[in-house]
Amino acid sequence: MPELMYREALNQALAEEMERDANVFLIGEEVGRYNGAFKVSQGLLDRFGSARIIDAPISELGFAGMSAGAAMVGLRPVVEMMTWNFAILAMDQIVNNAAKLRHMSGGQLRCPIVFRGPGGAGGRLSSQHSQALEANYAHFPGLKVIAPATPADAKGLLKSAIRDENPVIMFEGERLYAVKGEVPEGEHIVPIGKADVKREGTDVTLITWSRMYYFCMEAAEALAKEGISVEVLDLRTLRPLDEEAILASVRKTNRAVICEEGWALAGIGASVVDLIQSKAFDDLDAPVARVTGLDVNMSYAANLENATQPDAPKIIAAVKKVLYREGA
Amino acid sequence: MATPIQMPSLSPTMKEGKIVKWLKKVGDKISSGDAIAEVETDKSNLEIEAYDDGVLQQIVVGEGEMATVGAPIAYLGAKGEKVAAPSAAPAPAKPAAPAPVAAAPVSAPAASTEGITVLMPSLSPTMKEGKIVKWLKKVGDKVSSGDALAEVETDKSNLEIEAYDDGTLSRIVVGEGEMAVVGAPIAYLAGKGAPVAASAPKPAAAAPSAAPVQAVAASAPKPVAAPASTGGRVRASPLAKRMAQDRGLDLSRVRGSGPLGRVVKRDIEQALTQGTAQAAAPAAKKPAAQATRAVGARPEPVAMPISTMRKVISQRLGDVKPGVPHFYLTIEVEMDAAAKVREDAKAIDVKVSVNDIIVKAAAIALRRSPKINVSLAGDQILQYGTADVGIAVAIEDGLITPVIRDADLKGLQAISAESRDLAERARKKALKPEEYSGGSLTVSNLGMFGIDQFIAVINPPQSAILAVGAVADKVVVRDGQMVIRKMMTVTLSGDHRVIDGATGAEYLRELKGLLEHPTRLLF
Repeated sequence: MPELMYREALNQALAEEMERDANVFLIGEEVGRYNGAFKVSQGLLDRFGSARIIDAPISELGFAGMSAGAAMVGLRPVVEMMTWNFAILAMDQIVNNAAKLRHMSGGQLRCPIVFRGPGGAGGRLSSQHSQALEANYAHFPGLKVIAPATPADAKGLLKSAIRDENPVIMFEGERLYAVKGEVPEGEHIVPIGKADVKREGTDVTLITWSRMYYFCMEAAEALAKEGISVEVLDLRTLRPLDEEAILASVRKTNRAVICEEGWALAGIGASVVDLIQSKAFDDLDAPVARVTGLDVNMSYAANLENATQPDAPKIIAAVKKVLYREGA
Repeated sequence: MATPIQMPSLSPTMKEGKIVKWLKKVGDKISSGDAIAEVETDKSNLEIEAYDDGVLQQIVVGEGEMATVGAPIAYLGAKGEKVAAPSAAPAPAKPAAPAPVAAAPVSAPAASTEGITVLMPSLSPTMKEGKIVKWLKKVGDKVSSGDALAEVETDKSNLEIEAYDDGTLSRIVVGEGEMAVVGAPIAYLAGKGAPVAASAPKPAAAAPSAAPVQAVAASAPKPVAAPASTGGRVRASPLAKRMAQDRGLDLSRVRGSGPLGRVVKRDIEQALTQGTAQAAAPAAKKPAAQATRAVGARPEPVAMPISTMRKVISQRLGDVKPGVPHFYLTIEVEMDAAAKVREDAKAIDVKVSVNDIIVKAAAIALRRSPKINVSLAGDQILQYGTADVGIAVAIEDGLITPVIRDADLKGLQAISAESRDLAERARKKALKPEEYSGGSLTVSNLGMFGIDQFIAVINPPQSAILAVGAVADKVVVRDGQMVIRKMMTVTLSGDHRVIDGATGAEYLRELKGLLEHPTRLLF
């Protein structure tokens, strides 16, 4: 199986879907001639032409709304946000139009559209560029939210998202674009709503997604050396949550730690904790722990930027706490 | 001065009663002769009356709770009078209690005001009581969780016991050289900042110190109830609680290793392997075995609180016939139709023995008579949701009873194959523990030895056994005519603590019906 970078896997998914369905088009800032701010759309302009790879001006609200309109009349837009921080400008179109069109038209209108772009902290871009905003979108009925960690999942989930009849929000980890991994060629589909046990374990479940997955795997490796068997569950989809997978894993290990890059208050992890305590209370041997980004705006300084985010040592400490090993 | 209302003795055998319902509430005016509460005794439910006039000032024993005869259940006082130290009040009443049993630890409220109760821990699987050899702390000493409190002599060895909480040793209940049953209070710790030996002092002192000593003389199950009623909260994770319940463990006897002494999964696992904290009755071992055998796949037995009547029956019969008090019921079964089933099976090359048919019938009858599908486990009756039938197999060294699980759901051919396999491996001593433990009833068949009728001894914790005799041609009367029929005798031995004669008789009637009309085995 060929090894591809995360960005190449996304590029492959886009190309394959555009090849398969002439209604699919890509719009966003610098997606065409510049080949994408993060080079996800590399070569697509040459291959599909400017009618389907559309360079938009800096006008998130405008092109998001225009795309929602295009989706209503039968096209399948993929909207690239240069970062999810900028998409805040387009939230009205995403949340008030795209998410609600089917409901407000009594099911007469569909809105098959993908809003995708990088989220989370990237190298020293400070607070306006470094937010993990997935919890905001996961809050709204009418939207599906995906956040793949690996190149293979990125390809498979983007293909599912483009084929979905509803608006899908795709968070790509800003620091994941260069991460390499094996990616199946051709028709590789990862269904929306299915989490993935990336590592089997028996003592505790680490529940995570996107970039934090890598810290969790690092922590799991380190803990294995101490004889602690960690299961890593990559949610991949944040809305809808794969309740079955979460509960099955917690029932197996009896303990859970949720790791997310976003802030703790009203975070996705809070909903996962709620799910676990309400449906698997009798299976818990310890309170569920969370490792989240600190409740501050992101610093510019590299050392503070790192300190603000979860990392393997913080995850290891949380795991030990739920295992009553130390620091409890 | 508030006067106590005591639990009256309402029958010659009544030792304790359950408050079913309070008919008056605190603050109500009461006149002598008023019905104040409904009480369940070992015989019936009765209303109890007030002997004095006054205002109901405090209810000590809540609805659904037990009180020994003579123990205060409420306080009556003059209008406007206040009960000064309400929960300490029950203690002074104790010396007045008529029966010595009244000192039993049921009247826990006194303890709760004293802070944290230190209970005699169970330090070995067989330990029922321990002697305080030496107190390592004295009253007034500060105690931290983990500190050695006292040296205790158990049935096995002398061990130090540790404090599970922080505080100040406020009172020693059981002195050096004295005995205390497991679970009885031996000392009290006052919390941080609490005045030592001042909070719940004088009158209570006499009563509790007497309690453990007397409790030693009392029958075994009683002291076990003590820690539960002291109201001390056991910290445990939800999983640990569920595991303890499933396996019949007493959580209060498991030492928690989590934060603040929280009992967690590993503590339960440890307790299970070490055999500590097992519930009092040996019967509790059965659900443990079942739980490990098939988590989720098989229904756990349902633990039902034992009724007051059943409790007295079990205690009294246990006094009369220690161990398992048996009763016996014998019935004759016409086996012609069952023998025909065997012939029919043979015709299609299927080997089925009479015993296989009996096992299946016994299992179906068990399902239909859930009252017999039980066992006694301490203060509870476990009712099984499966019909698992043991078959007694004589082997060279003795006797073993492998179990055919869900025999009611299995076909005769399957039962036959399974019994042969189990019996064969039993003779080779190749059975796994889970294959010969559990089961709700055993079939013991000595028919092949030509025994017409016999009486079998129950295989605990099961509550019944069927002794099956030989099938023999006998002259019987049918419709006024003497005819020859294949007759067989079945004798049921029942555990009278949990099963009564009528229950056993119903079961046998069902069994007889199934065997005499074996097509019913299909429905």
